[in-house]
Amino acid sequence: MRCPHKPAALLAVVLLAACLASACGVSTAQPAGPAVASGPPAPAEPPVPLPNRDGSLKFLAFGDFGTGEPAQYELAKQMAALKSRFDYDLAILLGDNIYGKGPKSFVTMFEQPYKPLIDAGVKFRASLGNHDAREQIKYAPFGMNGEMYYTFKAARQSVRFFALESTYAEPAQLAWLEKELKGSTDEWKIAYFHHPLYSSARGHGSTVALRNALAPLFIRYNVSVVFSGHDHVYERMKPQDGVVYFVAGSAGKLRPNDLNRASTITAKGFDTDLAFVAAEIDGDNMMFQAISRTGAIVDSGIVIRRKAATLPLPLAAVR
Amino acid sequence: MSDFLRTIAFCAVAILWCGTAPDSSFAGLQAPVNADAAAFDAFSKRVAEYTALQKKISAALPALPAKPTPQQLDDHQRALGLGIMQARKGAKKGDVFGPDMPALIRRLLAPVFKGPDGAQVRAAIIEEPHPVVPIVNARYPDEVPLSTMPPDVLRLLPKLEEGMEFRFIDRHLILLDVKSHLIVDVIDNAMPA
Repeated sequence: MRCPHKPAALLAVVLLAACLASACGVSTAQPAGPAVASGPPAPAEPPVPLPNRDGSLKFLAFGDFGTGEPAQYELAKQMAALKSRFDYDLAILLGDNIYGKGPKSFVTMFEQPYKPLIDAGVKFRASLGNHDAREQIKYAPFGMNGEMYYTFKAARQSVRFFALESTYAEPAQLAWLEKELKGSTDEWKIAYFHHPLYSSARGHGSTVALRNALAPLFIRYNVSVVFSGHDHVYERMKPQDGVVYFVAGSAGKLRPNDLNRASTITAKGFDTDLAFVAAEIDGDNMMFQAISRTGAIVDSGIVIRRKAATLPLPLAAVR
Repeated sequence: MSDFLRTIAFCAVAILWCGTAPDSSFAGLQAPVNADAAAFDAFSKRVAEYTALQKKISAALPALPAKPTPQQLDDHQRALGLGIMQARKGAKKGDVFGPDMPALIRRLLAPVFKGPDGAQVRAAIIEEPHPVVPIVNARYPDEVPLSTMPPDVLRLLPKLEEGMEFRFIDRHLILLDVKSHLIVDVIDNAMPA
């Protein structure tokens, strides 16, 4: 027996599935391809512009960069090249900012490689990694204002960032985080810190002890995106309980072929060259690109922000 | 008064007395908890004495500008560290942790490391091993990355004043002065083998 309403029912099922996906903050990565890109990256080419709209929030995210090695400088050149076409004014740093010791390291591992960005007025907001000396919190260019962990509202769009100190997740920090998340009325809540809650890298992998403390807060208070470093690869996870997790810990150091190809949590990975993330938030969408040292886009897509599960989704959020 | 009434009165008094007397089992639980609390309290006082010394030495140094350069930060940290090292010349293990904390900390932390998630907690802490022996009242070795301190471990340890942290070097728990980058004290093998 044929159902006369079959096409309508199918459409309803598709729409429902899309609604559920949107509610979970599922990213729609493009282009489709192997989960982990391997082999030499594509030849250098100008990055495809994101929507690049006026009034959007444009920012970079990268970690584990402060080596002072030529590779770091080469990736930094890609960041500077992107700046001319994609006018970001914020860079969130995911820790292991300065691997070296001594004051000169700040010059060779930060001020020199990112001079074009600094000169252009890009504001850096750092989090600390396990290799970072604590006095970095007083180093003005890192924008930490003397705090190990802090929150700030972005200059544009309804976005609030939460920079955490993941090497020292003391009860006071967790209580502070819950209070700040609970009190935030911003549409986008983005957390970043050094240790990844989810990672398919063999070098370190998921920091489960930290995940048990943080992930429930991210889920409960509608954090949409989390950026981390520590593992020296690029990886975007499939949404975990609706939250999209990135590892972008290869802006200076690289562990080649470190990603476990059999991992079931990887949405996209890149572990054959350095990379950073460029992102743009416009309304409910966060467009992103992961860009390699040659300027190749190794991952891209859109994250739709999480909303309270009880709220009905606007049609515009359905993709 | 009949024997019956005397018995009733005795029972009533006995019941009342039992109702107001301290519960022996409760009192038995209080003792070790208070001992732990007393050890924590004494430790906190010694930490406060240390930070008072640190502040006194820091106050005698040229103040850092609002936006210090890395060189100024490094100079200030090393000068502070030198001043504290001189003031605490002869400092030895246990001076700040005290006599009771090592056993207490080992006892408190043992279930975490031996529990179902113990291997993960241990791996998170010792993910980049360095063969370094921590020395009291010496600069934290620059080549050793800071250990991660998982929430399950930190929630068992006493709250510290700002600028003081617990960290591990190998299996040894250290009390770290973040401002001077000095190892203030050490508990050997706080993490079980």
